[in-house]
Amino acid sequence: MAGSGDAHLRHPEQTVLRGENVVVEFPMKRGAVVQAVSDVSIDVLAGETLGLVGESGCGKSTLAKAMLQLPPPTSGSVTFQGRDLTELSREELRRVRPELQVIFQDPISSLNPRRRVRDIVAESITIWGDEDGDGRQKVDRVLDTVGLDPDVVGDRYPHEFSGGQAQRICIGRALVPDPDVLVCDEPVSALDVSVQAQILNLLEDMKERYGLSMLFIAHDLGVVKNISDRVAVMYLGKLCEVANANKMYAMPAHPYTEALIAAVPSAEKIDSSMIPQGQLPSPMNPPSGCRFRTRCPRAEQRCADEEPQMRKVADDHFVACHFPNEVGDVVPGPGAALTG
Amino acid sequence: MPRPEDPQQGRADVPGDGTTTVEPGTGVPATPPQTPGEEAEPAATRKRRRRKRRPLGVMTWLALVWLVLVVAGAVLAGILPLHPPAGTDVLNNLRPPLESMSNPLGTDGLGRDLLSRVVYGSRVSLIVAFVAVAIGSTIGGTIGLLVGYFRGKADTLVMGFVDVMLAFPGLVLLLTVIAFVGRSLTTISLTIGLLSIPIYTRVSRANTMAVASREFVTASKAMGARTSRVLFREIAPNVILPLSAYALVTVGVIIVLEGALSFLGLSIDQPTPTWGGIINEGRRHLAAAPHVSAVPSMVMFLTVISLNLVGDKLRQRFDVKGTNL
Amino acid sequence: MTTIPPHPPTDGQAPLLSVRDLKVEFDSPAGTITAVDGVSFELSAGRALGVVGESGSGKTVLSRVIMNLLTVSNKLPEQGEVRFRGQNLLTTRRKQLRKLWGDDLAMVFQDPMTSLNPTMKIGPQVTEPLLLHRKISRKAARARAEELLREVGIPEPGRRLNQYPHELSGGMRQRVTIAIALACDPVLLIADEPTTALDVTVQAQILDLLDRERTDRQMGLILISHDLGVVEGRTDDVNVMYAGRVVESAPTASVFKQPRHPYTASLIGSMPKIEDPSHTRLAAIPGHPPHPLNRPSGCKYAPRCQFAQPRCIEEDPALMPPTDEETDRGTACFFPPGTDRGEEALARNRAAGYTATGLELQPAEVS
Repeated sequence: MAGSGDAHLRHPEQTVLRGENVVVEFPMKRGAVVQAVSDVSIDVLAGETLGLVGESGCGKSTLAKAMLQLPPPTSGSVTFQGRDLTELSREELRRVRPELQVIFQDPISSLNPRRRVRDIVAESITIWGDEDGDGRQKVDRVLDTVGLDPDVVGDRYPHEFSGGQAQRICIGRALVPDPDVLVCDEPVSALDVSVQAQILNLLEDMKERYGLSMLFIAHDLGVVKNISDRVAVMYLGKLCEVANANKMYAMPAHPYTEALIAAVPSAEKIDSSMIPQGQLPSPMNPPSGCRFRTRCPRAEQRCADEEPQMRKVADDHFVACHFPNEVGDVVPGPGAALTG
Repeated sequence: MPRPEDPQQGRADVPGDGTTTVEPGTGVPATPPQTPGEEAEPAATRKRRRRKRRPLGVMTWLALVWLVLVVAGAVLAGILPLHPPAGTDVLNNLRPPLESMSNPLGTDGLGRDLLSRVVYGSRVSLIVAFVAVAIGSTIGGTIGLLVGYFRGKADTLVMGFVDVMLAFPGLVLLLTVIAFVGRSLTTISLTIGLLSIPIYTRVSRANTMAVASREFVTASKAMGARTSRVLFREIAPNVILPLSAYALVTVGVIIVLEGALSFLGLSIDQPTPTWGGIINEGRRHLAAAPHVSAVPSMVMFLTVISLNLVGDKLRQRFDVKGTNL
Repeated sequence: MTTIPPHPPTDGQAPLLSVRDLKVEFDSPAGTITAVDGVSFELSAGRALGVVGESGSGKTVLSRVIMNLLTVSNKLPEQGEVRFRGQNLLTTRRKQLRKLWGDDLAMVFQDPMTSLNPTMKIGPQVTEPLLLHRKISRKAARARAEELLREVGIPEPGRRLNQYPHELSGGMRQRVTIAIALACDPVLLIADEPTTALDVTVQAQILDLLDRERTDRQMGLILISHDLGVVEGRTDDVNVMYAGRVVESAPTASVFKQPRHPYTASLIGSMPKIEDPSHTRLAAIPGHPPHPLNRPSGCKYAPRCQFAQPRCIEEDPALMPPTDEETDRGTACFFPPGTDRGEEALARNRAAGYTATGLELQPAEVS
């Protein structure tokens, strides 16, 4: 039951990117305000992939954009490499930006239709100058790494490419400035299954090769589990559960996480009693206490009165719920054991 | 309305679309595979197949040819073997077209050669139209780009002003200015140009807002690009093309407007020929010699319709590039 | 391309829908595009058929052509036939078709926001097919509409009738479009990506609803989706489409147990599965589907196929049973995975290091 708290955060010295008590508000008509993200804290360790999962309108993309200061959050802090990005001046922030890169859902919309691929990928070199004088070689090298032949694609325009290839170009562009953190906002949801697999594999390879940390946002649970070390589940602007990916999928503690996993289509008949009924409440007027309570099969009076705080239920497993599932400390499931 | 999966908008030939040429008959790949990685991309053997552009069509070609003729005539009028546009020959008046080689389009009430007058007249129409459009699209385009990107109070203010301007009857304003400042080529071009700024601001702002929400703009910001770079390198190139297509169509509108002014005797003073002026003069002879009005009307009609055709074609082409993405 | 019917109707009756050698082409400035290329299948009442494919595979065009709804100017005349209860819909007059659409034949589209009229209240939109096809009064139609909305799980149906589509959530809107489709008790419902625009919890609800209605009404259902998971749990049979062809056609359970076409196998392998531990390497399919103007002459999948042999480049495989025993399914492959021929072919390619089309094989890759 989506609540606040920061019990799940790790020691600040271990984390590359850390958002604390992030709030994002959007002004609505007649002076009203909608809170897309309310008091959420997340952190990413060096070399870790944090998956952020939730249904549409839960605020996951807004949170990711706030981490990038595009635009900055209404309140809260975002610490990157030890500096609070929300406190930086425009120019200081501009200098940090190349270290914190992003790829988006729609790869075609992410590429300027009037520029050639090589110019697009060289964007950061054009902005920041070509210090070593090997800008062009670097661009070609990166294109080659993301699986595109620079001699073939370099002089072409974005509209000549399919979605998967355009996403490769976007990944290339983000890699040229050698970032520390790559934020991926639904990078594969516009792609076909076979291409999606190519891009997910590519992202894993690039993470290895460039020593990236990743914040990976998606609505598809299978995709998120595949790529993430740790997963955070969002509902209506709040976090529900944060845990090691294998643990969370094997033993979800939060009823909402459980429902999400149960709803993934598969051969087995879905247990309909697990699926939350009713509609998503309006973010303009969220429920009191736990935000999930209006659709939660376990909701009691306490859930309406008191907002649950994030607490530890097992090793690397945190939940914001008054009545979570029992979760053991042992790594469960045959699948998880295979990970090694 | 059901649509197929956009077969005509299908992806262009893309590198590594998995096709490999095979030497006929052997069933063996023409070259051994060389590129490692998950995509089969033997670049050397790939069939290069340029995407064919949709052909322009006869009408567009005719329109283009006509526009080239009109512009060339206006520019080269001085050195073309034409009668002087003001050279009267009263004995030879009201000759119909195609009667003599000397006056292929006939003569008017004072015996002046119509071909010559129409060609010289095009100068006024074209100068007014192009100067006005250049002023309007440059200033309006820039304002629209800035307010469309920054939004905020400036946007509200500018757009409020634009709405007022658009609601004001432009023709009345134009006539007032002409009455005060005089009917020179410069005044008329400038006034029409300034009066058309609001509409370009509108078009440019709308396009800017659409482009600014695209993710490549965000990506550029995330790269640390300065605002000026985002505006002029990322957004402007995507706004200029649709704006130019629109401008081309407005050239036609302004030619008609200038024609109306001349017809009313409110454009450039006589004896400089203008299309509207010639039509007006021909009014007196409509019964006996309709060609005096008909010839310049026809020329104007063809010019405007050609501009619209070409402008439409340009717009379509840009649209495809914009949405196919 | 001639094919054998993969699933003869089990009960010996004439099938509800029978598609024979259907071919749909479009004229384009760059050449003729074949969107659907010789597709044949059958569907009996009460059965659910899944059609799976990636974008450009022709599945959407197929769904429109089955209803003869495709009216784009550059479409060339279809070849083959689509028989609905024996009647060839491709040669049926518009006027006759209009009597079928919304009555016996209904369709649910991907995006409920565009398939509902935003300026019309829900009520008139649900009663429209009833008033058109049934001789009932406005009042009776409204009562029936309310009943339908209740049936598809919309709370407070009476109030909803007076609301506009934008007042409902995405899932509710899709329920409304389903209610409209079910209004005249169709015998065949085509659902084209009905849950793609919806969240996963809502998707489960909508699929449940379709399932229940199909069983209750003994209606034929064609479920078109790019998502194998959706098709896996909700259909009896499945057609896998690639480059305008049906490359595999079989009972759903057998397809997922042992795919007999390399494309199906790879598609299943490239899907991230929730049961697998994180960081499981996905078996991505190399390359891209062929451009519709530039499809290879032999097997369309050969350039991306790990099993490809010289024969696959020269000959175009037709849909046929993969083995002598498996007569209830068809595959358009000379070397089906899991069969002796297929394993031999794969072993040969592995030994050579690349396939007949020049695709490099990683020794570690699994079939």
